[in-house]
Amino acid sequence: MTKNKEIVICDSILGTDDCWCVIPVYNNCVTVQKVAQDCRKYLRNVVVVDDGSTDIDVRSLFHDEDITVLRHDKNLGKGKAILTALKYVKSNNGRYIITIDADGQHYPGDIKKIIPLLSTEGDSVVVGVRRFEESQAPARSRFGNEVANFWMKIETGLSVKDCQSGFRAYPVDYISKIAFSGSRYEFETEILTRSAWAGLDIKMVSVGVKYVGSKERVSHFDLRWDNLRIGLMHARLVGRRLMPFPHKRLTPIKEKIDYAEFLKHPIKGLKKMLKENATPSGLAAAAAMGIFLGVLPILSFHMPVILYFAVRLHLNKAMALGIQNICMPPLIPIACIELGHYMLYGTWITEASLRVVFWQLKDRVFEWLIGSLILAPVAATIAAVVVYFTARRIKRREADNTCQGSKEGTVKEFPARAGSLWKSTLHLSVNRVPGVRMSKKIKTKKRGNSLGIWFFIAFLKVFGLRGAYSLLNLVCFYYALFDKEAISAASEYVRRRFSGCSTFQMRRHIYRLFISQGRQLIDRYASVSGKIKYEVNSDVYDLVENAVGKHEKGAILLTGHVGNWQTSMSLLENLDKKLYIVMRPEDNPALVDFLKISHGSKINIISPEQEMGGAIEIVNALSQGGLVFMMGDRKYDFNTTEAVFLGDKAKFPQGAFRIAAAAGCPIIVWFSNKTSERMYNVRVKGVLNPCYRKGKEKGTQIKEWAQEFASLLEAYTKEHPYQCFLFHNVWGE
Amino acid sequence: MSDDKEKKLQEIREKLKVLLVESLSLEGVDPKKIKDDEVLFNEGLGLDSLDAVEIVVLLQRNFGLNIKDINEGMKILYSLETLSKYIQENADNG
Repeated sequence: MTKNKEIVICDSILGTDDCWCVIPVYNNCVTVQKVAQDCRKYLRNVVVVDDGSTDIDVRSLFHDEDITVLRHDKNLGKGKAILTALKYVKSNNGRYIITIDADGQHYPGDIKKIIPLLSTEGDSVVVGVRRFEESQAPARSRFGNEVANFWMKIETGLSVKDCQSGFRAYPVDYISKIAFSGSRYEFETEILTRSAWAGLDIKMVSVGVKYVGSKERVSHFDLRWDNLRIGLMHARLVGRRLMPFPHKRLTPIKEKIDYAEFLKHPIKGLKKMLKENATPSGLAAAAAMGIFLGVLPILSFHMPVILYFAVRLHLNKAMALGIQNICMPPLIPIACIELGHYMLYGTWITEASLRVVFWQLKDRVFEWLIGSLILAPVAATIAAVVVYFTARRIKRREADNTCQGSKEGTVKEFPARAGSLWKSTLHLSVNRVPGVRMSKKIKTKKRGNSLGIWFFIAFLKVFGLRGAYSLLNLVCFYYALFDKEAISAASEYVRRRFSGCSTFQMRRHIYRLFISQGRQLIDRYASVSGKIKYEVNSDVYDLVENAVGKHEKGAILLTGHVGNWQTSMSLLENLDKKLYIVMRPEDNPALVDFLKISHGSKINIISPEQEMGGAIEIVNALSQGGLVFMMGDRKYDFNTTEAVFLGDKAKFPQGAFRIAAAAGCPIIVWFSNKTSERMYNVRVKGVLNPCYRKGKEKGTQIKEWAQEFASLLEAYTKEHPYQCFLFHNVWGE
Repeated sequence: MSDDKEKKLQEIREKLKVLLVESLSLEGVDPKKIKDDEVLFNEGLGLDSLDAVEIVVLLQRNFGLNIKDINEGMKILYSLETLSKYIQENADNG
């Protein structure tokens, strides 16, 4: 190991002049100097490529330093900057360049980790895989990275974990022999893929990353145009991959593939085939491809074509070949022909005669083609969604069964505090255990793991509210079709609200209900994280003030599982009253997080799990003039009474009514509903003043009050049928 | 003195029995047949958590006493005896 005073060289048989550090820079004057100086501690040769910066004369930053500065007169792109440096380093007999971003996100000290991986044959490409979990990396960056990694797998069959990392090492000789078309951010995608095609050895090493504040860190990534360029680049690379011409290799093949292995060891070969690219996204891609090609009219050539595509794109062959059997005649061809005929002529074919099928074959084939071009992408998308969520569910179950406490099962924390709200918000609670006194355990089924939730947050941040909403369509479609528990939970309400509907119609109503709830969950996250401002039309504030103004005692604010009642609570913070909410914290982690995040400690939680069901706390709160939020359709620990709701006898908790009657305070019934994309209504629907009258049995009076509430709730469901999220059976035992 | 105290305690017990039956609408329960140390919740009188609300309000209105927290409440409301003694002690202290 050579060592001198200035430079710390890692253990490597490469000479100190063999590795050059390259720092492309464009308008990053705040950070580039320090980055270059820190790199100089580890490598003797540092080249900064000024890609037409206008914020500062980059040369002036380094005129006292032993750092070379190359300059483009105008901004040509990161890719061009790297190629410029490559040419310069090659002319100075360098063997490797290590590129590092100028924005300060990388740690130059990690150069020590990269150098030992560089082979002396000069055919290694090393990618620094950033440890995102240690940083506050924006979700947008992570999402883009996941997409890039996916396409890399398709194009090369390699699982590279961070395809967009700018911290890499390239072999100068080999890279100089490859022709690239990209010049900007898409270059970094292209160079990895083409390096893999050329036979270069792609290695990975874990490196740190820091996302500093926006004042220090400057990114010139244009969300629209750079994403478009990257998308087009992937399309070009996939297109090249599909061509039946081999890629030009620059290195000899190290490991020859034994194509006869499958014949020699068929079971082993089959197992290998089943496991290849068998991640949920990989299987989904294979399914989409199999269905897409299966729908197209390529007459008897489906299997060889699908096999070819699966091999070229490194997709799971078993899935691609297996799933295409769904498209076997006659169903899919007939559907395509009918669709094509309708698109062309506006009518359906109703005749199945010799004339229509054979004599007009030319027309039918054309209609089949037209119809398949519409049906193929739709069917492929549906197949991908179904396979993805099914595979993920199976994988999660296997992980739960076999790997306790493994990293796979660990839920990652998102940078924003609102992220933890989102993690637990995406629940559909399924109450499986009948209410029993004093300690009731309710199983909460989480839907959506970290990756799924992360997708929603990423879509919200990149594409806005409508983008996040659009993702719901596929997810809710899946749940409405396949998730038995979710369907069962929603069925009781849907069956009664839309009485007389067929099974198909019921599923459609359930789907719409899930969409509506999903949107309101997204709204809640967006509101708490400050991303979207919502308008709220409300009369609650005034009416509550009028109602409680007359009483020194407080009031019970009674609502149901409708609308976005959680976000509506903030309306009452301006009242000079203490606020309480009756809830089980363990059943509602999302709500607990929400209250902490959005309301600090202003809203006090009273748990009905405690002794006496929290009744003493509730009474004390009311006697001190507090406002107590309660759900009128959730049992808690209290006894229930019957009321007719949507045509059947349902059980409603007595708690609110008996407490109000005992404490002598009013019950203000209020509901919230979404009226448009960014607007909610919060309205008081009634004010009850429960007071026991002599001469009438108490139980009967409680029943009457509960019936008043049930009637108000029913009226709401008639107005807003898809905003009633009663996913527990109030009619059951 | 202790006889006076005992006499007052008994008066409180009898008053409580009547108040409980009336306020909580305990149908078919004769106040005279309620034992002096009858357990109030789950067993005994079989009251539920919402009945606790009414008892707390009853204490406020009839005796001017407040139960501040749940732990205190659990001890006080355990039986007729504990409730009666609480009333007597706080009435004495008041």
